[in-house]
Amino acid sequence: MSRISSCFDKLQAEGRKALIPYVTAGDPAPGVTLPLMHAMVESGADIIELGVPFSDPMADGPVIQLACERALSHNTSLQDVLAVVAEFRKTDQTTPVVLMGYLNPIEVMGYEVFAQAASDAGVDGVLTVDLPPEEAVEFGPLMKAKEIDVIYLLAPTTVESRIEKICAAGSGYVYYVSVKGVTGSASLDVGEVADRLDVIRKHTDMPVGVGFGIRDDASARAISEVADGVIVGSVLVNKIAELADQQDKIPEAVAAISGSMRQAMDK
Amino acid sequence: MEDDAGQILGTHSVSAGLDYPGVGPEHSYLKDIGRAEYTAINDDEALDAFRRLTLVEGIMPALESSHAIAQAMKMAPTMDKDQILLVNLSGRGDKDMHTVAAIDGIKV
Repeated sequence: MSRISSCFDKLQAEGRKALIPYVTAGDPAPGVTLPLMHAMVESGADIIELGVPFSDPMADGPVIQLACERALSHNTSLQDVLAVVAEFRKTDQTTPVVLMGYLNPIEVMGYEVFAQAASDAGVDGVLTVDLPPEEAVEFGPLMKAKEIDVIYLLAPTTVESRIEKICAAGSGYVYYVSVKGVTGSASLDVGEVADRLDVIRKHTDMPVGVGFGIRDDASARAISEVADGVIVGSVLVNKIAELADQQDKIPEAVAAISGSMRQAMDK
Repeated sequence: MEDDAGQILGTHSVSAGLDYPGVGPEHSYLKDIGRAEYTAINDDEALDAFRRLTLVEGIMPALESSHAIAQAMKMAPTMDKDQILLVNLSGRGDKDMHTVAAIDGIKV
């Protein structure tokens, strides 16, 4: 069983929901990411989504676009991101790590080379925003052969026949994008999300994580009441941006935000 | 257009419609199967073609189409008089007047 599935099983047995923070690797500088990952785990993160910086992050709002720019100003590459995961794994063998990003850097590396390298580094899941399941006939099986989960996005506009298809192609968890927009968008309607999750659950037993638009303790708690996982990114990345000139403060400050969400979710 | 790490590179063209780092799959396919040949035209050649067609024929081509005119101007002298050269003038240049005017120092 993958680390992701074990993680959700354990949480379910405890009656808790997964807190899944997202940060962009290499933002604002290469040395920050590793201590930040450990700090977030210490303050209650269950799964870490690590963004692979990309020049054209078309699903991301301005906050994560700027995070990519900061990371790319140091030429943070896919190889660098995998190296961070390998380093993280030396002291943490249980927390799942999901790479979130776009296909092009992976395609340039080569699917097979990437599958092997990701497996060696200890990556548990891959979410490529711009790779729909129809285009993943080669990529998907290569990942699965290395026991890496391929995670897909579902949108508020995804029709039911497509929900079925996407759920069948994915593994680990399903990522429900809670708003019609890019990351960091506002106005999350929890009732609407709950209705959509009911539809999604007709088609899969996989855990459903909800992201895009969760910005504080209250929204994290509200979503945790209806979803299996709460994915939070932009609000953490905003804090990283604020502290770009005081990098040693980043791990503690960001972990404090995710830790506070953890407490709100567990109440 | 990408670097070794798969990051998309910045582009430049005087023509906004060509200022883009990718090529559509149909064009890639036509090139691969040898049905079409693709060549490059630089900004100066495109602007020269824009001015020539505008002055000589009174037809103002889009800066994108001006690239095709520039290529036609290179090919025509190498052809026989009775051979036919067809250019697809895909857009009109009214939209590009401010761009060319700025380059030529003309106030509009």
